[in-house]
Amino acid sequence: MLLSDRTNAQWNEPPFVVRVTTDSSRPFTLRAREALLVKNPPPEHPLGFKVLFSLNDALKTGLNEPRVVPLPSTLSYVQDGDIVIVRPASGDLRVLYRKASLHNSLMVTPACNNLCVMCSQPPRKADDETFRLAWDSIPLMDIDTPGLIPLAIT
Amino acid sequence: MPSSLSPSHHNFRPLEDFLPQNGAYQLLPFRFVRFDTTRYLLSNFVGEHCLVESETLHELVSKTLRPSSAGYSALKSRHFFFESGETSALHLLATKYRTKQAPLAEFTSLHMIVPTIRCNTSCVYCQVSHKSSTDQSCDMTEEAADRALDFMFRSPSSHLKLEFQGGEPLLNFAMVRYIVERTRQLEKQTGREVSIVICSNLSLISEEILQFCKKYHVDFSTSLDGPRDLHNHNRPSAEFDSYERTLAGITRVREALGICAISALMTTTQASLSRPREIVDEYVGQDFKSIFLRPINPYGFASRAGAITHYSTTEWIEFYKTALDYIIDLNIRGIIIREAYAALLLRRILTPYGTGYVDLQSPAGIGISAILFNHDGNVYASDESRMLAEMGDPHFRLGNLLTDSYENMMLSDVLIDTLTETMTEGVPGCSDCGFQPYCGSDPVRHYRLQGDIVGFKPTSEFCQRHMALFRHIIGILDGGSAAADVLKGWMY
Amino acid sequence: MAGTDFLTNRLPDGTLLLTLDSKVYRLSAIKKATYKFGGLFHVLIEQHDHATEVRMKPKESSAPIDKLVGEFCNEVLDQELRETVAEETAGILNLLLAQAFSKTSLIDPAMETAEYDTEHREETVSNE
Repeated sequence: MLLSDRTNAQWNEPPFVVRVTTDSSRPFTLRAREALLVKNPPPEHPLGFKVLFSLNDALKTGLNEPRVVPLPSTLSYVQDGDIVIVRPASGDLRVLYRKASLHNSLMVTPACNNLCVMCSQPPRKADDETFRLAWDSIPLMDIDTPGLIPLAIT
Repeated sequence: MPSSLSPSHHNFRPLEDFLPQNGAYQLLPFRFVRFDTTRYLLSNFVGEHCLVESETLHELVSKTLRPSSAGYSALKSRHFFFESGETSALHLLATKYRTKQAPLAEFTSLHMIVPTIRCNTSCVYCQVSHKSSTDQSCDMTEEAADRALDFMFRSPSSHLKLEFQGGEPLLNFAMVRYIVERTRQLEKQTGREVSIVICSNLSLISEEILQFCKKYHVDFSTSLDGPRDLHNHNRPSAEFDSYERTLAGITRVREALGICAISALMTTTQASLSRPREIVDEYVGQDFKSIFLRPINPYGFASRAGAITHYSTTEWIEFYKTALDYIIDLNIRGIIIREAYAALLLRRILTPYGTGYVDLQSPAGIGISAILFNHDGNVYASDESRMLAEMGDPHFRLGNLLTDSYENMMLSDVLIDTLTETMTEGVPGCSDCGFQPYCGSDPVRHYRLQGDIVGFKPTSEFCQRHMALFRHIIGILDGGSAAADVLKGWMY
Repeated sequence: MAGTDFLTNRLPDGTLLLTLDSKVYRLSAIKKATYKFGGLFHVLIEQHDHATEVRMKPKESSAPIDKLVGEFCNEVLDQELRETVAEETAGILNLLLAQAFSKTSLIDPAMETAEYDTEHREETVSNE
C-alpha cells in the first residue's frame, strides 16, 4: 500500500485535487471537484465529474468527458471522502487525506530555512503548487475530521 | 449457591402477579387526531405522542387494553394512563408541563431592527415597500436606535438576539455600526450577552464591513433561492447580477469570519415548485450544512405580484416533501445537510424546549418572543405585523419608541387581547387537535388572510400546511428507519 | 362507515340531510364535527326529541359527497370519543395544572415534606 504512485494517463493540465466518491448519483453541484471511483462502467453516464478513477485498466466510456484515469492497484484502497492530488503532466497521484484516518496531516510548503542534519524531509525549493493544492483540499475534507495536523516546515 | 434457578423456585412469584389486573387503570388527559386510514396520533398536554391503531385507541378508552398488548407499555410510559395506586405519573406530568411552559418566562428574545428600508434589489415577494437605494428619509435616527436598545435590554431573556432587517441594512452601515457598538457597550454595563445577525443580500460587502463584523462578532444571514436563473428570477436587481453578488459575498464572509458565520434560506415562488432537488443541490454545492425551505408570506409584493408568486398550499406541501425526502436521502448517502424547518418542527415534537419560531407557539410569539423596531421608531409585534402596516393596516403596531413607554406597548390591548384570544388551548378546531402541543397560533396571518385573529381552521392554509408537515415528519419518525435517525440528529 | 344509526337523504337542491340518533350522538359532538367540515359544507343543525338533523350543502358541487359524508360520520364518532376522554380526565387535568404551578405538592404533600431517613443501617452480607 503506497501513498503515491503513477498512472499511465497523462495530459496537459495543472495539478488539482479531487475528492473520491463511489456514488454515481452524486448531486451535480459537487461533481466538478470529485472523482468517481468505478470498477465497471457506471450505469448512467457520469457527467460532470472531474475524472473517473478506474480500477479496471480496460474501462472505456466511449466519451471524452470525464477523463478516465486508471488507478494503479497500489492505490486501490481509496474510499469515499478521501482526497487525491492528480498531476496530469506526469501522471503522479498522491493520496493527500483519508477520511477514516486519525492521522491526517497536510504539508503546506516543502521549503525550510534550516538545514538540520537529522531532517527526514530535506527542504526543496518553495513550490507554490503545494500550498495551493493544500488550500484547495480543505473545503473537500469532512467537517467531522477527527485529527488534522497542518505541517508547516519553515 | 444453587447452580440454576428454575422458574418454579418457591422464592419467586410469576411475572403475572406483578402486573395490574386488566382494566385497573385510569386515563390521563390526552388529545387525538386521525393520522392515516388506520391509525390515530395521540398526544398529551406535555407533548408526548403515540401512534396507535384505531382498535387500540378504543380499547384504551373502554378500559379493555391488556398489559400483554403491544400498545400498553408505550402508552403507559408516555403517560396516557396510569395504574391505580400510582402517583409517579402525576408528579412527572406536572413537572414536564412546568418545563414546557418555562420558556415563556424568558420573554422576548428576538429583537429585529430596521436601520433603513432603502434597498437595491426588487425581490418579487418583497414584503416591504422598499425605497430606492438613495432616499435617506427611510433611515433610522440615533435617538430611535438608542431607545430600541434600551427596550431590548428591558427583556429578561437570557438569549437576546438582535437581527438587522430592511430594506438592505448595509445601505445604512453607519447606523448598523452605531447600533452594534452601542449594544456591545450595553452588554458590558449590564453583564448580559446579545447575539447579532445581519440579514443581507451581501451585494455591498466590503473589507471595512467584514473587519468590523469580525471585531464585534456579528454573523450574517442571506437568501439563496436556488441555481442562478431561479435566484435572479426571484430576486432581480437593476444594478447588478444578484446571484453573483450573493455568492461572492458568501465567499468573502466565510473567508473573513469563518464558515459558520453565515447561513442561508430560500423563499419558494411558483418558479421554485418544479425544482426542489436543484435548489437543494445548489446549497450542497455551496457547502451549506443547513437550508431553510420557506413558503411565501402573503404580504406586500407577494400578494400583489399574483401569478409570479401565487401557488396553493397543496403545491407547496408537495414541493417540501420532495425536497425533504431528497435531503434525508443525501444524508443517508453521506452528504451532511439539515433542513431548518424540519429541525424546528422536530424540536417541537420531541422536546419541550422553545424554538424561537414565533409562528409556532401558543400563546403566539408576537411581542412576547419577538418584536420589531422599524426605521421610523414604530414598534411592531412581529415582522408580519410590520408587513401588514406597510400594506396600510397598522393593526398590530404597538406604539412608537419616541412617544410610548415599554409598559404601554407591552401591555397594550392589541397585544394582550390577541395573545389571550388566540391560544390554541382554547380555540375551536385547535383545542381538541392531536397536533396542538406542537402547533401554534399565527394571529397576524389569520387576520390578513381570513379577517380574524383566531381564524377558521378548516380553511386555514396555516393549519393545512402544519398538519401535513406534522403527519409527514411523525410518519418518518415512527418508521424507525435510517430516515428517522437522520431526523433525530437534527433537533438540538 | 354509515351504519343503521345514520339516515342520509339527498335533497333535490344537493343538500344532504343526516338524521342522527340522540341516544347515540351528543349534540356537542355533532357541532364540533360540523365545525371541522365547515370549509366544505354549509351546515344547519336542528334538534328534535329523539334525533338531531344535520343539513349539509356542499360548497363545491364537484366534491366527492359519499366519501365526505363517510368522513363526517367518522368525525362525529371521534368527537364522541373525545368527549368521553375529556369527561373522565377533567378532574385529573385540573389537579395536574394546579400541581404544575403550585409551590407545594397537591398530589402527595406528605411524601414531599418528609425528612430523609438519616439513621445508619447495619449491612449484613450472608456468606454462601
